[in-house]
Amino acid sequence: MATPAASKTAPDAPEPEVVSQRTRRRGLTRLSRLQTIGLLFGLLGVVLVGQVANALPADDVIFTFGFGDLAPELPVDPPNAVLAIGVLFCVAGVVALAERWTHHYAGVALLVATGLFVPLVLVCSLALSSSNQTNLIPLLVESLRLGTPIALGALAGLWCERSGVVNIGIEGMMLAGAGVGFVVYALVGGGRGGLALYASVVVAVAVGGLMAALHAVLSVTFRTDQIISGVVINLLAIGGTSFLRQQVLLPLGVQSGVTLPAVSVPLLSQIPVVGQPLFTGKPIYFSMFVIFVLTQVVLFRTPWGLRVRSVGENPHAAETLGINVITTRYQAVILGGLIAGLAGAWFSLETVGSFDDLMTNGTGFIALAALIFGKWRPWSAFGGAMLFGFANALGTRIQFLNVAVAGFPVPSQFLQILPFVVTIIVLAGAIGRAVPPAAVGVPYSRSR
Amino acid sequence: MRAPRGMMIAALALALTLLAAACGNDETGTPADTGTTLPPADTGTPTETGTMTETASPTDTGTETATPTDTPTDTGTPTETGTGDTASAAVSLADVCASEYADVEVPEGFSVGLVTDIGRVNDGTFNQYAFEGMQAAEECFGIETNFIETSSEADYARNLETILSPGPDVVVTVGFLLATDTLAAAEANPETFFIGVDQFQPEYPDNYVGILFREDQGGFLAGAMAGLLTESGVVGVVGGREDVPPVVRFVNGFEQGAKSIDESINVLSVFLPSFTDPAAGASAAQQFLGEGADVIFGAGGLTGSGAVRAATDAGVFGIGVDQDEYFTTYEGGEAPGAEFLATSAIKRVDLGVFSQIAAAVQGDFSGGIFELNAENNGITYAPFHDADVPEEAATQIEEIRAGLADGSIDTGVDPVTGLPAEG
Repeated sequence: MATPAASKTAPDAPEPEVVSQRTRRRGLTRLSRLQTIGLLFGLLGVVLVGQVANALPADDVIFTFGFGDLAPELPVDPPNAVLAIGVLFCVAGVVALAERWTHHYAGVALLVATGLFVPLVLVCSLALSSSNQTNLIPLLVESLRLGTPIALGALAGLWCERSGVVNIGIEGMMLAGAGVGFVVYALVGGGRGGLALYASVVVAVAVGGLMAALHAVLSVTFRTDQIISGVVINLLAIGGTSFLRQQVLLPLGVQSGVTLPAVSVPLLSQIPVVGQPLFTGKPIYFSMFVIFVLTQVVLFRTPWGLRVRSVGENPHAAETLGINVITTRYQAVILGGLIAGLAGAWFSLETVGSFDDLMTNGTGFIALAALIFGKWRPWSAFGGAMLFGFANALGTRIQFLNVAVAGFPVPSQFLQILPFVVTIIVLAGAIGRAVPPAAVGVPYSRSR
Repeated sequence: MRAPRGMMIAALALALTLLAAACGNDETGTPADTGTTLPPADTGTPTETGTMTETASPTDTGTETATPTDTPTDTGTPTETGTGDTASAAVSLADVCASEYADVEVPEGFSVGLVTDIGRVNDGTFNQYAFEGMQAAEECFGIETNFIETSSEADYARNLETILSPGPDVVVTVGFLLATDTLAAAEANPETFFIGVDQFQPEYPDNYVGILFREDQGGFLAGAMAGLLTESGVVGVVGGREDVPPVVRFVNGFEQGAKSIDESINVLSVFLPSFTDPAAGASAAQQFLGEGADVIFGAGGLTGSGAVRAATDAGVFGIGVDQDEYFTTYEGGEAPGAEFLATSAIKRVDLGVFSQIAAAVQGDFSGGIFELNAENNGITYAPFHDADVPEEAATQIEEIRAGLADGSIDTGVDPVTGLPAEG
């Protein structure tokens, strides 16, 4: 999971600006950002120890991991567990506040404390629910699965923005991929699987690339405002896919189709109890991990990756070194679009097996948030995407466990906004200042 | 420092979108797609009808289909073939027409207009079902009909005005969300009869009838079915928006129905914030499966269908809603997993629309609530089709339906609030 600490080790963060920012704030409050967060953790720890721990029912709750009789079970005593987490929060708070003298460990302490949020929420909600047992493996798997399109969308945005082109059209690229992919599937394969299904995934990917190419033409060649260009992509996708659905899908009568088959990772899926749920999944889900690794390697370890980053930071300097800024931006934007198209295929061809208007439901925008959350770095963005996936899965879980606080069930509407609340908190506070690639949003014109 | 400003605009756009998403995702489609979509011709044209019929009623229904094949241009096919082989208690509108309205005198130039909720008359939801009811009335009485498909919530009032402009005798509006505009139109046009599907009003003018359903009974049937089928003792229901009363009635009815079979059955339920997010429905269903659920009821439009699909894909029973999803989601058994669709909890929107139009034609229309329930065959369950439902369960579910119909079984859900009744 991405954390505040990650920023400290960033190789490419423009340091001078960050430092000046921090000094300024110190002058006002005498507390650095880490210390402020540490203070909040400390206060939360005190509340947990003093108030929450003894308010929880004392009956043990049981977390199971996996299926079958062999599944390990972890009985937890809620008051004591919360007490322990509260104490650790206090310790983390003290360590962070002491950073001024020790100059060490604040990041690590807060990282651990942040991680402890997960068991805290799980223990509290299970203790307050009508059930005393829940299976954590499906929660984990669903978090990853719900995070998949967000993570892919974030990667799409990452490639685009690293090259200096803002991309708020991820949503549209996804939707177009999902729509056209399924229409082709229905037309060619009748929604009955087989080779046509895989061909349709390829089409979805290509359509994402085409939409991105349009974005590149508008914003790189014609130097349109990149925000406007992105909006155009979104609107075009909404209208275009809706039209296709009306004119092709409905008359065709193909309402649902066979989705991509689940595959198992050899060996790993043979691990007893947890192997099967964790290492059985669908192709796009697994490919997400591969694409992340590839992105990390290509962007940071190859000459072309360096070129992409340099045209995103300082295109004029890059040009003087003989890099073709226009071409590089085109390549990066289209590559991003291909990934967005794959994310679209996740919806229509991997998960649902049909296409409906607006079926991407704003995922592209969440992906953009995950990208900013991850400060334009692949693994941090992955962490962000999975955090949203987890918030989503957890909202559902808390709802069907009938969690009640002080005798009142938590309103479903509150749980449904959980991912968005997490977005706001994360973007506004927890991650600090996210510095985009320096040239992002600036149309490039060749130096004279 | 121009770059951060660009990002700020992006963040603003993001925030607005998130806001829109949080307030109900189904409205985000408006920008590109606003305005009224008028059908190619004012009346349902032959091709239009044919398309609709084809989607709703695959040729292999095998029963009561008036024509052997449904070609796209075949308007002659009675619309009710799609629901033709529903449960034993389900009635065909053609039969109703023949038996009850054989010699009705139809006023000269009688016309009916229909406004859909967001969606189309062939979209496989209650829009289509209401449209089929109107078409059946057209077949039966030889009246004129036309319709407008709504593509945005902002267009409700405008579409109503448009449909009212030629001065129809009856206007049908589909959906809870059109209730306010329909009431206003009914008050402004006292000479026109208004039929509102799923529209509850504290008070109705004399020319406005709200067709309401006992969804709790439908949910109860689905819950009882789940209770009869489950082996793990865990069943789940994925509902749509909690602020839409029919959804709440379905979900609570389901819980009561399952518990009526065995008090110890664990019913997992969630409400999701959109009716058009099948991926979210599927994900919720996956979590249910992880908790050991082996029957899943989807009660929330496409979101619910996503959950049902996830269940049947995993090889456990799914139960559909509103209409027989065997014909919509599962394309008449063509789609994978159809053998795990146990049944569907059916709301006969078509029957409601048809009988109210008939009332208007006969001149005995009266304002107020027209309730469809198990007793008047407005609520029932779909046949099992390819699903392997044990004989015993089939007998029991029919007994429960009969019990709901004759009033000997109470769902334990307040039909107005949709909440479990006290005591």
